Order: sequence, then structure tokens, then C-alpha cells
Amino acid sequence: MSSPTILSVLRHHGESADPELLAWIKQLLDHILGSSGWVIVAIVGLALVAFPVGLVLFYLSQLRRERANSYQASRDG
Amino acid sequence: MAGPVKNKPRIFYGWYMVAALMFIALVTTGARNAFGVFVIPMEEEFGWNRTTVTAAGFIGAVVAGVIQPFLGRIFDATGGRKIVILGLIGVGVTLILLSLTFHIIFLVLMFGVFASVSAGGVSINNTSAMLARWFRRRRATVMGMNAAGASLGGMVMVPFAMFLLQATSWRLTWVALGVVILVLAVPLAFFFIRESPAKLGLQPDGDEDPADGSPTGGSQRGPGPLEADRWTQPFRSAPFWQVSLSYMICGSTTYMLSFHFVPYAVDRGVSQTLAATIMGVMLGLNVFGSLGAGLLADRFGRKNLLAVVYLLRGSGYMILILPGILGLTLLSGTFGLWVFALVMGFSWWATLPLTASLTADVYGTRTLGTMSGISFAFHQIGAASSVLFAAILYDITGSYTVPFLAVGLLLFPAAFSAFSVKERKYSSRYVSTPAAGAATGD
Repeated sequence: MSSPTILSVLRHHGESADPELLAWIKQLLDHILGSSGWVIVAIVGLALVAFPVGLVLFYLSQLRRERANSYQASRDG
Repeated sequence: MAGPVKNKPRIFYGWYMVAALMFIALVTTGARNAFGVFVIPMEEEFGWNRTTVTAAGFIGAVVAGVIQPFLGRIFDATGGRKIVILGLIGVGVTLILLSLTFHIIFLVLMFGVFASVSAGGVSINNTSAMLARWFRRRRATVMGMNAAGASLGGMVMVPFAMFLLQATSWRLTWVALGVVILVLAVPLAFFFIRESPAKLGLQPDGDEDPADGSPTGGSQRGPGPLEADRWTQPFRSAPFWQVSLSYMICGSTTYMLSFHFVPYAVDRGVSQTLAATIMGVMLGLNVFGSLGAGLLADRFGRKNLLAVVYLLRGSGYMILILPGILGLTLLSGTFGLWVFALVMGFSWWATLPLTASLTADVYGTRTLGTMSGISFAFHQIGAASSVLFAAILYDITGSYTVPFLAVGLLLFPAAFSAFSVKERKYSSRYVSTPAAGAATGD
């Protein structure tokens, strides 16, 4: 296979992370939200932080509850 | 639930694993999908052309396929927790180092090689193999959720990177993506990821321990007749080849579309913007496709649904191509593209939870990382060869009709191959079935 043929593959590129597609998505979001990109950055950034923190806090609260129940059950039984 | 309940947790720990792995899939896949955001600014700064920059992404896809069986082997040998955490650290550090890009070879090495190898450690193949140990009855559902997390990654992280890049610079945006992984995903993995329920004294699905004499225990089925102790064993049995070869066709039909759909739609007279919109909708539907496939597979069995997905996708390709050949005006226009997007969008990632859960049910979880890695290698062989095949045929014939028709037709034997898997005979879901209402299969 000649290298120009292999490189021709790349010229056909139009995948999901294609710059043209991304430019269009950005244009659409600009149109919906105005041109303040920081709004999107802040919203997504907060969601990204909130999910793991929320999950850990939820798990710890459940763990504490189960330990309290377990302690109560051992006292009762 | 009957029997002596010993302070059973209200929420099964496996669900925390699912949530953590969904988040990990979201940020790692999303960060890698955001590569396209960096193409234009890097082109502008270094004077590279599109082909040169895209080569890094293409090499990354090939490296990911080649390395996955080896990473799967390490995953099986070590239990998985270490390789997931190390993979995450590797992805995070590589993304930060990408901010120092100064030469195309540096980009190819960092993104195409190091990021791909690191991402392989924390790939959907490995994390699905881990979830397979935690769930039996809801195995396909949780694998579908994991795949949906990866699918959502592009929708969340790509706009994040896009707007951050606009507000700052491409170098700072690479750093931010790396920091998200190192600061959020790594600690989450460290905190939640456990290799198997046995390590916490739990049973899969959160069921009662049968040693307690509980009459329940839907998960407590025996191993299937093909349960593998060594990764070479599945090569000698039919289901491995039936599933892997159809998965190879899956790879060829999705990657061909990833690379060629937009140019194909533009060739059909659709504007670049509309082609991009249709592609975006198709990718958005992935989330529902993978979630739905997982839920349905746990209810109705895996292989029939897998065959239906391939049939649907094959029909989609026929809707895309045949009306143009047969002169059916309604479907040969934009409407046909939308119908195709709907069918393809739902079926795109649906094969992943179905293939992975079927493999886990037939061969067990001991060598699942390796098996999934080998199946993924087949997927990537199909992917790379179809992209190449379509490009060559396009250059010869001047259209995408022949390559699209060829891969579309291959989906019908793929459906037959999936349908002919003897799930009832080989799957652990149907061996020594106790209480739980298992699904219908064959």
C-alpha cells in the first residue's frame, strides 16, 4: 500500500470530533446562550466537581447510617 | 426478602462502582473526543495541514486496538484496580504534557501512543469486565450504563473544552482536561474501585450469601460449560468467533461512518451544517441506544437482541444507499439521512453491552479483560480496514455508494452469526437456574 493511499484515508476524515462539526456545535451554543463561553465552562465545571463530591458524601452518609443501625441492632439483640 | 438479614446495606456497593466508572468513562472518553477542538488552533500555530494533525488521532485508534488485549491480560492478572488507577493517571499526565506540544512527532507520541495506551488501561472493555464481577442478573444493564457514560463524555467534555479554549488558550485547555482527570477521576477511582464483591464480603447483585441458607440468590448460578480459566481456551469454541467476527463488522460499520458520513452527506447535496447536525443527533442517540440495549438484554437475553441490532443497522445502511440506486426520491434525499441517523444512532453503541455481557456469561469473568481486549482488537481491525477500504474505493469510483453498500450487506451475516450463538447451552444465565426469573433466550 503506497503511503499516499494511506494518507488519503485521513483526507476523508469527518469523525465526531471533526473541527467543522465542533465549530457548528459551538455556533449553535453561542446562539442559544449568547457569546459568553464562561457560562458553559462554569456550568460543566461545577457539574464535574459536584458529581464525584456528591457521590462520596452520599456514600459516607449511607455508611454512617448503616453503622448506626448495626450498633442499634447489636444493642437490641 | 426472606432469611436472616445481617444489616444488609440499603444500597448495594456495586451501584457506587457503576456511578464511579460512569464518571471515569465520561471524563476519559470525553477528553479524548475533544481532540478535534485542538486541531484548528494547533494548525494555525504550527502551520500543519489537516492530514498531519489528524494522523495523531488515527494512530491513536490503531494503537488502542493493538494494545487492548495486552492490557486486558494485565487487568485479569492483577485484578484491575491498579491498572484502572494507573491508566487514569497516565491519561491525566499525558493530557497535561500535550500543552507543551512543539512538534508533530511530539503530538503523535503523546496523543497517538501514550494517551491511547493509558486510556486502554481504563477502557470500557476493562471497566465492563470489572462490572461483570459485580453484577450477574443486571450485567448488561450496568454495562450499558458504563457505555452511556462514555457516550455522554463527548457531549459534556467537548463543549467544555471548546469554550475553555475560546476563553483561554489551547495549551491551558489541555492542562485543564488533565487536571479534571487527575483531581476528580483519580481520587474517585481510588476511593470506590474494588475488584470484586468478594473483597467486601458481598455477593454479585447484592444478593444474600447462599452459605446463610437464604432461599434467594438469583446470582448463585453455576459456571457455564465454556467457563475459561486460561485466555486461550475460548479460541477453541464457536461463540468466541461468532461474537468477535460480528464485532469486527460492527467496527467497520461505525468507523466508516465516523470518518465518511459527513463527506458522504455533502456529496448527496446536503450542506455541511446539516450533515454535521445529522451526525450530532446520531451521536446523541448513542446514550439511549446503549442504555436501552442493556436493560432489554437483561430482560430478554443477549444474542437475539444483538442480532436485532445488527439487522437494524444493516437495514439502516440499505435505507441510506438503495433508494439512490433504485430511484426512490423520498428516501434518497435528506429524509433518508434522518431515518438512517435514527436507526444508526440507537444501534451505534448498543452492541457493546450486548457483546460484553454475552462474552462474560459464556466464558466467565476470570479472563474477561483479555477476551474483551481481543474482541476489541477485532473491532479495530474492522474499523481501520473499512476506513481504508472506503477511502480507496472513493478515490477509484468517485462515490461512497460501493463501500457503504458493501459494509451494510456484511451486517446481515453478522446478525446471523450473533443469532446462531447457542446462548441457552453455553451461557451461565441458563445453567442451574434457581429462583430469579431469567429471560427467554434462544
